Amino acid sequence: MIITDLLGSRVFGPDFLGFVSDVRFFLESETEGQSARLYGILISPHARSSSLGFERSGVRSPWPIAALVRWRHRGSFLVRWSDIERLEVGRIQLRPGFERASPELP
Amino acid sequence: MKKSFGVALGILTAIGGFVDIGDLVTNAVVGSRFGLSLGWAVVVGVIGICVFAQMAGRVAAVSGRATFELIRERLGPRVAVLNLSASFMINLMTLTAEIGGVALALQLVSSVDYLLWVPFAALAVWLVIWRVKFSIMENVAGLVGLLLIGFAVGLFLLSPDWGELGRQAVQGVSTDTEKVSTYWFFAVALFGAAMTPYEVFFFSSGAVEEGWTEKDLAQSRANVLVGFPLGGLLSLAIAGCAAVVLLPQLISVTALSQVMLPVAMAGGKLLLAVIILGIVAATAGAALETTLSAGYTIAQFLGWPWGKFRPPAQAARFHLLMIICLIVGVGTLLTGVDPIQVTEISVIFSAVALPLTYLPILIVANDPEYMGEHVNGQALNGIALIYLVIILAAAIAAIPLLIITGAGQ
Repeated sequence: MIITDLLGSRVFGPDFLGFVSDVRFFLESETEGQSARLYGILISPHARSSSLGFERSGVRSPWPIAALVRWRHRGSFLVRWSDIERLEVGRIQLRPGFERASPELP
Repeated sequence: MKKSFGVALGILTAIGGFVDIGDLVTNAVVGSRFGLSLGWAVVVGVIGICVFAQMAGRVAAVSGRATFELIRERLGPRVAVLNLSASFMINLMTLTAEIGGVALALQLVSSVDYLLWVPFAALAVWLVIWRVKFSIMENVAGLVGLLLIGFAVGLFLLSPDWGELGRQAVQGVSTDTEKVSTYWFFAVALFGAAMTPYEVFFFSSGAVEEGWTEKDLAQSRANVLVGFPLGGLLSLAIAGCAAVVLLPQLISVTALSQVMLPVAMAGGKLLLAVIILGIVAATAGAALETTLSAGYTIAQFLGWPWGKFRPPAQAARFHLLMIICLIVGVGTLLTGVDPIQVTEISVIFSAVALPLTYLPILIVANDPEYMGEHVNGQALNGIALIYLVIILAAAIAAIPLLIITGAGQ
């Protein structure tokens, strides 16, 4: 599977929640050359497009672009990979009781 | 002392490296048809490239990341691939035009057909990329390119009616035969020639090649804010020469020899020789920059090791890719396609592709995660946003204008 298979997929809890707008990886340590591990998916209720990284921090400039992108992706949230119950082509079903996390980086 | 020498050298190479075949041809064509009435488009383009290159250079120096690494990171895979394809194709077209430019300039020196020079020009470009140190390559091409100041000297020697040139720049010329759409087509072309995307790929990747850090920000700013505007003055001098000599005679420029005609009239053989040498250096320098940019864009996007600071064996795919691009460029030129026309089309498509690379750089230049305290200030963001609108307008208008005017015919 490649990331493009996931991006834009429709995500369902019990009901429709939104689209996969990005995926989040993490590195276990600072060592160079290790492979990144998939942490979770970013779900945007209104837009399939990329949120250009604005979800990662509180950056609000340059003003009209940041405002537009933030508005398109309002209500975005992060769901851990382990909260995915079923993966199909173009459709992702989340486990009951999945957790909505903030998309901002800690 | 060493530091101020470094700053001066950087500025000089920025001036010499600013003008390429696109600027040479487009400015001369426009000067011969519209006088200096489109001088404003050069000014708008030069301020634009200053804003763009200043941001890209700062991002590269502070974050250590070059343009296409950021594009892939920020735009998402689909848009980034579209972006890469468009930028790469336009860069390849510019590369072809620059090699054609070197060959045409050598033809003027030798009277040997330019097609015979094309493979040698490409071979020379490859050898330099393979063997010569980055800083030497950049400095030599930039400093010899400074000989294009001959255009400014030529303009003074022609002792034109400065008032008339000024009037053209402010009020425009009465060109009954030219349509409004053609005027705007050439405005976009001049804008694209001044703001060619490869300049930014090269400038930001070059900053990484030379290991720039926050300490080099002042140098980067001086190169851009002093060097590029002075380079822009050379563009205006080229247009001015054409406006003084060619416009009254109704000679429209279709060959490189016509670009130099006014200089030959003004300064004779000596100045002509100086200019030809300058053109060879400027186009060869730009051929080097575009070839490297072809390697930079793809290698950065795909995460390959890249850069001249690595031995070729450690960046094998990067070097192989550049060799393939040179071969494709040579092959295209050997079909007999007119390099001047390739140039004219490439500057238009440069304008089309510009928003794709401008936007991610603008966004990252505002992100403290990458930039720390060196994020864009409010004033710069204001100017940068005005330019975003101009760049979008030029990009949207470019292809319709190309079709309506039949490429400005």
